[in-house]
Amino acid sequence: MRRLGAFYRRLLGLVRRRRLEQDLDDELAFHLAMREADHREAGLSPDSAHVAARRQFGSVTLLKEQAREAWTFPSFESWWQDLRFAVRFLRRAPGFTVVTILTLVLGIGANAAIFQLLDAVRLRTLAVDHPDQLVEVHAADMTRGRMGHFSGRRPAVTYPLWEQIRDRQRVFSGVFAWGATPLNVGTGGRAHYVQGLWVSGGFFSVLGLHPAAGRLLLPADDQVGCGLSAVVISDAFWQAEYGRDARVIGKALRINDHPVDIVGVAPAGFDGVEIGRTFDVAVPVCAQPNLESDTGQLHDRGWWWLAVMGRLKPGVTIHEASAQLESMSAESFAATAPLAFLPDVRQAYLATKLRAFPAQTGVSTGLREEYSTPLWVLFGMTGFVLVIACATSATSCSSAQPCVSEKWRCGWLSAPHTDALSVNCSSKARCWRLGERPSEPESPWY
Amino acid sequence: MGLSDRAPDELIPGTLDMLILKTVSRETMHGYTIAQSIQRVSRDVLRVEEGALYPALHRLEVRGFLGSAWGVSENNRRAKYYTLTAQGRRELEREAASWSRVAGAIARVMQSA
Repeated sequence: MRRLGAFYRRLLGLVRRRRLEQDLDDELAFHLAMREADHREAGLSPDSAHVAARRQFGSVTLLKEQAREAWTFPSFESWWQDLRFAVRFLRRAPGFTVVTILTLVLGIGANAAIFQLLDAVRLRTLAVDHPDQLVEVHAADMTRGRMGHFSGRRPAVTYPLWEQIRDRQRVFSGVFAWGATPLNVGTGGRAHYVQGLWVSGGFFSVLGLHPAAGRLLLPADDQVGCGLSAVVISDAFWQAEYGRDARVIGKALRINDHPVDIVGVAPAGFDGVEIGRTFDVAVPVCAQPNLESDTGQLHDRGWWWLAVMGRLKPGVTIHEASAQLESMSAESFAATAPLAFLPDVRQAYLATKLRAFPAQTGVSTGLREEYSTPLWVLFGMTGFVLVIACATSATSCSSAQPCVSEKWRCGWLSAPHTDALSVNCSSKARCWRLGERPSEPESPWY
Repeated sequence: MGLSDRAPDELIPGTLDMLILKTVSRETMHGYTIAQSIQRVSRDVLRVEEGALYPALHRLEVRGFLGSAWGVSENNRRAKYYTLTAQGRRELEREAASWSRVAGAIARVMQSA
């Protein structure tokens, strides 16, 4: 409380500087006048009384400066003095220094490490344009009303359902679907699997990405029956496989033994929309029947392999988006209901409601669910350890005798706060070693 | 503050604050009277110089031990009057207790021979 009070008064002193100056002038003028009057009473002539009073006063500028200092925050010099004192002390106690530094290094290092993990899994937003506008669209309850094949890491919708969402939604300025699959880019009979992404035509444009080279996939690349039109490679893949050679644009990449033209490179730092996952090549969804053996997956109403994300129109909230998605759900599911479903599953399918879920930090395919809570707990624990480390260092410092004695008895006393005429230890190396003065050293913060 | 016949570095640091607080504890007064009062009560042994007095007053004010108000002096001039705050009173008690312990200890040592 008291410290706060002094801090507040100093702050006030900053704001009312001119007023303080004026007061100080008046106060000193008053003092001079009183002294002059006393001298006159003692029999001096007015002139010599004036001179005598002045002489006794000494340097008014210095005096004012010292009084002013009470109102200001510690100057650079006193910080410097503290710093020098600290270095001197640390050099004199190497054991203490090493232990303290190690304690703090470990405490801070552990925190930084855990935070990096936490940031990647939980906090970092996608490296795309306005990630806060991105939402994921899937059923409110993903455990019911679904049957058939499930493939990829995020099997949220079927292709026919994606078409329904794409054509019926009114709340997104853009919407896209994607799915993950391993693709073989090996040649001459050698298998070389890379991380592949099926992406709908709007994928890159809705995310607001710009190519590092060439162009990105466009809606025109993703038309049903598109054949083997185009592939976009990631910046990392470009670096690893081609050494960032720009001549690679327009060349064919063999994917699952089919030649596909490389049309461009995704921007550096963009690893897809999945947490903790990266991609190497992105091909249009429409190329699926041609790249993989055509099992009818594309138009299969019971094959779940895609996930859907949208960018909210300006001014539309996620709740409004959910409401619209819910209201269009009945028609969408009725239009895509698979005939092969058992009656009760079919009923659950028809009753499924679509909703929008925040996706600014990306879509999690297991990592977040599994590690988020343990990471928070770890982070809390390492934070606690750091607090303990600080406390330990502080206690061992205050119990280390040199820490207290020199600073309190000498360092502070020669600081500008103390009496103008009091002991100056640092210059004369003479310390007052009796008693416990000063009972309370002035901390630089108040 | 300084003792006229001694090197200034032989004065126990921090005593000026205590003397000021003690002096002001009797009644509200301005800087000049505080200096005069200390000099008078100590029978001219302690002389408070302005160069030490005003920085000390302002420091004590910032720390909340002294309150101040502008008033009119006995000779009709505008003067800054200092009063002891509740916080200052507590500080004075602490200082005084610590001081009497040290002074008593010194006295005992000096008388022991």
